[in-house]
Amino acid sequence: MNNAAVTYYSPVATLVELKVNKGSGEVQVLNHHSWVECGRVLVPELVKGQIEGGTAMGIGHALMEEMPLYEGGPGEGDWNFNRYRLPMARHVAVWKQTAEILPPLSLSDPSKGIAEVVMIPVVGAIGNAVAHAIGKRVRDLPITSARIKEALNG
Amino acid sequence: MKHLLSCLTLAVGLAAPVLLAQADDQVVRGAYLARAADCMACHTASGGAPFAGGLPIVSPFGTIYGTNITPSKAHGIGLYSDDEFFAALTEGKRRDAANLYPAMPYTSYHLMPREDSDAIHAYLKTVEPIERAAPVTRLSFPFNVRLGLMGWNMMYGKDVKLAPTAGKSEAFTRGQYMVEVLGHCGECHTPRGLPGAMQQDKRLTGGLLNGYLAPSLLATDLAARGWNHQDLSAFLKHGMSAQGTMFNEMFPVFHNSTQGLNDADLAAMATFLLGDQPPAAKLLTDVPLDKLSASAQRGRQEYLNVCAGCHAADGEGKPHIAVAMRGNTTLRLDDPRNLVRVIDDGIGEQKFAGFEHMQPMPGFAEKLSHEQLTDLLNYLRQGWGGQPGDLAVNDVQKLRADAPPLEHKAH
Amino acid sequence: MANRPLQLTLNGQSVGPVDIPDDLPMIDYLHEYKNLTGSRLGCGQGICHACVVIVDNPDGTSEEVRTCITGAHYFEGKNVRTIEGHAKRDEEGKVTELNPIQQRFVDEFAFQCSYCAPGFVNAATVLVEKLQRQPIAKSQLEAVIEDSLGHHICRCTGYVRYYNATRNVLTDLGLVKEG
Repeated sequence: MNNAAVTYYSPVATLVELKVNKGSGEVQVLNHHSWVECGRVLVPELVKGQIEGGTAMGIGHALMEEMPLYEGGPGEGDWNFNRYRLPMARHVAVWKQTAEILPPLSLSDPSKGIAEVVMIPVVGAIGNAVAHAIGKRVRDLPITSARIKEALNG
Repeated sequence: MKHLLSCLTLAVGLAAPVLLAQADDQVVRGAYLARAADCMACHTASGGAPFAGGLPIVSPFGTIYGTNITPSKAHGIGLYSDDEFFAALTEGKRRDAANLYPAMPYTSYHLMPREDSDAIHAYLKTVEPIERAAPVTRLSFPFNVRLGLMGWNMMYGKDVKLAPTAGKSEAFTRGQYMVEVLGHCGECHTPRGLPGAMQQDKRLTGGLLNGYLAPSLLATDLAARGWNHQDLSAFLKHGMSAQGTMFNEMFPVFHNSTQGLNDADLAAMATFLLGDQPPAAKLLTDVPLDKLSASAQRGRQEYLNVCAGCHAADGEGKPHIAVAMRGNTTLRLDDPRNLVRVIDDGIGEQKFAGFEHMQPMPGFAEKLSHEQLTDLLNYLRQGWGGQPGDLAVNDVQKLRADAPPLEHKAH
Repeated sequence: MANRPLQLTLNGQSVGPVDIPDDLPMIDYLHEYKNLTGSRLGCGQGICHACVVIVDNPDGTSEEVRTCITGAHYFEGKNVRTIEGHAKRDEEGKVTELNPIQQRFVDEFAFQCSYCAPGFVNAATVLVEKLQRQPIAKSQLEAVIEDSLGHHICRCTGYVRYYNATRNVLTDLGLVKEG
């Protein structure tokens, strides 16, 4: 049993297609597809909604969202969305993205929680995709254009 | 014989790392000089590969495209020798002997020493070659006759001169080179006459660029607008200071150039512009509402309606979010043109250094009538800019009409 | 800070003149004076667009205006619609029919916590009305939706259902022609 008192997890997998502008270091997510198996689904639109929202949040985590710890950070009181960058529709492949909810393992499968688990694999997928694109690993999140330029130029 | 050969080998072996180190040094130096000379700004298109050209430069004579200066042999400068590179930089001479248009600031670079040109060339040789041709510049007759530039170059090509610096500090002399030659600030900040040449007798007194004023950089004028040495250096380094942020054509200067210069050079540039004994920065006090002109008093309500939401009701601004009106340099310019432009056009989203990131400022061209804008300008300029609040609606109307073609409208 | 009179048309009703502070933000006027809390205070500096209302211009066009950064007196004499004004209501004020965008957003689960929903509804409503005046070609549809909704921030939904629902409304209303 883990700290959420469950032993029964919802697996999620995500595939990401992106491109990197090697001059500006900007990353553009072109498409993504996720697979989720969460047992017996009660309201599929809500599960899909979680997938859509969670992958968006993961994209923000992987590519955009950052603030300094301690001094100059959120305690200052001036932090807002001009500096803390949230993913917008144009960042999440809004028209192209797809997802599928896999059928439950058996008819008697209970419903499992999914919450924001969908937010997790997309981050790793983006990290791998960027590495595939530029041939270098960026191991600090978010993978900003500054970090990509640094990885490319040494 | 064997002994001699092994000696030679040893000598070459030892020399190689030294030569390599020197070559590396030259490339590093060249990279820094390229930043100071801001090659990137004109030779890189928006979202394009570095130095691959394609950026359109709108001039009164037509649109000139920045060329591909990557080491591509077919489309860039891969075939250029050091001599030919030097000729391009300092005389505007292409390898095929054609004349470059003076959008390329060879008029300023002509004072660059050979070793700096060689270093920049060495650096550019390490840049990724991009095998794509930049768009070809085609100006309309008679400007497409590049031969005509021969006469222009004879008259104006070497006009920029470095004033003698006897008795000035080292920083001043270094700053002079950074500003007048590499930075080529004079190319925008100097008025130009009909043939498009800089009017050297009015050097650095300000110039017009696509509807915006590149303001005067004379020490007395800078100080009158509240600039001091510390703030000017900070402005160059961060793109922002107590006097406001860099916007419009200055933002790429910060983005591609000044943010990458070292502190000593930035201080030197500020020393050159303000002088070894800078004039005292003029400080202003707020003018109370009842002392403002009638127009300015009406303008206060316009300010509260559409500006105070970000810039704060008392003009204090919000740190990291919106610049303060109090102390802002654009409000203090005698010429109201920039204030008209920035209120009408807005400012696009801007990423500064570190975490600094400004959201777009909306444009109010459709939202404020000529009368409303005039009142607002008078309020801003008289209340916080030390200007009289006496702009007339006719003047504002004319300035509004003198709008440059908008590539991107701020939201 | 002084008071001055404000008069405007709000959700079809004439309001005022009422004396309010000259520096009162519109969102505070809506919340504190009119109890219209549907326009949401999000970032408070004009980025998230949860606070927008619709202003109907005399020339027949409409636009969204951010109430968190615009003073109430800016709206003097203007025609304003808030989220509360879109649905049809009976004499007791109960909702009888949502507008097409609202209905579609409900049907397609377009919002989750709904904090940003009024902003999205207003943006999409402006777009529907704009296309009713001038339909567009199918090839432009996605770009036009991106233009209208693209500045609105949502943290819950990932935007997909908002965009798809808007596209479906425009198509179903016949506002998209071939091309």
